[in-house]
Amino acid sequence: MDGISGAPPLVARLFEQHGPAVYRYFRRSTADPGAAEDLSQEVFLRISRHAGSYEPRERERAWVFRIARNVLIDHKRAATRGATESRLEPVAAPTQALHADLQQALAGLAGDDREAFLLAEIGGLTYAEIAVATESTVPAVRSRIYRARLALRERLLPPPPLGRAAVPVGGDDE
Amino acid sequence: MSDEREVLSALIDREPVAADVLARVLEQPANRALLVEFVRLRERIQQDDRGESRSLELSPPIERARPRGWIRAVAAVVLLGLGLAGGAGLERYASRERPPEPTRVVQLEPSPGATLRR
Repeated sequence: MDGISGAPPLVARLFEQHGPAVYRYFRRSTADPGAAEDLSQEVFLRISRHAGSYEPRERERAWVFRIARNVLIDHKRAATRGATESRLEPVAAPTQALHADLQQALAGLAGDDREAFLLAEIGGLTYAEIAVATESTVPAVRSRIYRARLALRERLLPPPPLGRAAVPVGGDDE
Repeated sequence: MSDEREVLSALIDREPVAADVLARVLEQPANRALLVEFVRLRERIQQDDRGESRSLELSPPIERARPRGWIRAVAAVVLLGLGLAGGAGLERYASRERPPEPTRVVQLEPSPGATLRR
């Protein structure tokens, strides 16, 4: 992956360091590789436009993923306006059944749970950073990620030989 | 009320957890199994990501440079000049296509004794 020719060093470095993770975040969120690539580009274009005013008050990765989340929200709004809302659909990839299963399992999560889970798992954000990005609280983020993990485990992992103890899914968010 | 097992999820995310709560939760074999499954789930996702990143060719963002002010002004002048030149050329071309303007008008009238022959 080449850097951004002519781009400020900050943007080029951020792209090198976080570009693949940002792409994976969009890939998991939209289930559309083309859209994920476009949205990734949009993130770094926005960064390049605002690079001059960037002040490192937070961790770089959290900043990048906050922008990525905003780009995703804009994308979903635009899709809704165009009456072609981008829904998470199982990807038809016969040679990648593993991948399709994961995508389908992610699609089955509640939106807030999926968002928090992806920001933590793919983005590597801390719960506090996710709470800031999603205008939520750390306990709520913690619950959402836990719920997401329970649901994904049910859908993706084969049950152990002696069966699986039922784990209640619920509890308050806040 | 939150589920105490949330500490297992928080633990693998390297979030701070209360040691006493963690100890209490891990006393249960089912909860230990749950922790292992959370780790397996992470492996599963990372495996999927690795497979995908092998085929990923993410292009760097490309933004067309916005023309600066003076470039836009020069471009406007050039376009205006081209437009004027084009208009003049069209005028010349059009004038070759038109019949010449009449310089005098000759009107022919029949003589008084003229007859129409069939």
